[in-house]
Amino acid sequence: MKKYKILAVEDEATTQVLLQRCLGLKYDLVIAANLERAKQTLEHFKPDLVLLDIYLPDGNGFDFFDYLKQDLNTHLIPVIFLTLESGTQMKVKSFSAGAYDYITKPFDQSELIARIDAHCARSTEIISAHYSPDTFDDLFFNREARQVYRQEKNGEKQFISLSPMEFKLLECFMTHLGKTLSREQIAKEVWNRSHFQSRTIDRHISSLRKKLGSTGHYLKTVSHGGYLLSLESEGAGK
Amino acid sequence: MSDQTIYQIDQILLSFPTLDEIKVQEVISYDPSRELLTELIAIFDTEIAEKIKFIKTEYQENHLNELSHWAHRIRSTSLNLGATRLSEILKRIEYMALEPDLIHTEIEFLINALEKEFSSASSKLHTMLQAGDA
Repeated sequence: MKKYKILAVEDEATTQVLLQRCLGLKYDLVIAANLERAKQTLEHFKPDLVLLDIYLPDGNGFDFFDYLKQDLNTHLIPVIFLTLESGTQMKVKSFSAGAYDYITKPFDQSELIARIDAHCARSTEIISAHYSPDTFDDLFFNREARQVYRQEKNGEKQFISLSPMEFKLLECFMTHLGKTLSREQIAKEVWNRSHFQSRTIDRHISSLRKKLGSTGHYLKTVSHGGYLLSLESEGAGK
Repeated sequence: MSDQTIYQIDQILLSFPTLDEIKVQEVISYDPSRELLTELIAIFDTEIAEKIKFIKTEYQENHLNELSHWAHRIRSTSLNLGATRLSEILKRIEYMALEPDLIHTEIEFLINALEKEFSSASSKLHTMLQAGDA
């Protein structure tokens, strides 16, 4: 199991000791006592999650939250506010700003760990989806322009004409590269419907495979239902 | 009781114990050897004694924002060790100090109550710690 990296921005000594004791063995934990230290830490330590106090000696936790959100390297890191403030107004402010969670002190060890694990797992999926590759085999995938090109042997790029639905289908597989997707998952992600005619999906997959040419065979049918886009030969059904 | 409420001093004295022993037992459960509790009590004793002095000085110098800041700062320390009555007094000081119509007699009473309450909480914490040694 992955040992998540946690940055705790916390100035109060007993809370620091408790965090170290409760989280130090399970996670790769760094505690920064103020915002300046927290910023310095980010230069050499990329956390999977930030635990953030609101009132800190050199500023407000929301300032650091904004700092994280403005940097492309850190804007997707989930932040949990860990604070004494139990008022609804502060909770609403935190969630409105984009906080993943809000925990009031004194914290319960098992609850804190459960929340950290849940948010880290979810954010790993989001980050991998966000940073899914733009190339696959000899294909170039331009998400913004909604276009796909093939790199020919002579170096030239050849445009592949896909329907909007075929593009969404390919985008879905690129996002979940190497993962088997059931027809239900495909229906939900591509067509935004939980139930769909299997034949419709199969027909679109078949059409997409043909248009992708030699790369099409990497779009594999998995036995017992589903499809997978992967360069690996294992599990290939077709 | 909702912990976002700011209670009057008589309610605090009536409703909150000096020490929430369940919280202390929780800390002991994290480390049955009681090393963690020993470490936390040492911080509690030094931090709170020092910050109460700061609170008194800030009040004398009419630095009410700073006074509120120090009260907030040691509220976590007291809550982490189950000193709930102390933390409620601190909360009242923290918010009262920022009120436009500050009632000086009340805040002076609260600041005096801090020392007494700190001394009681510390004494009970040491008793619990020693009970484990026995």
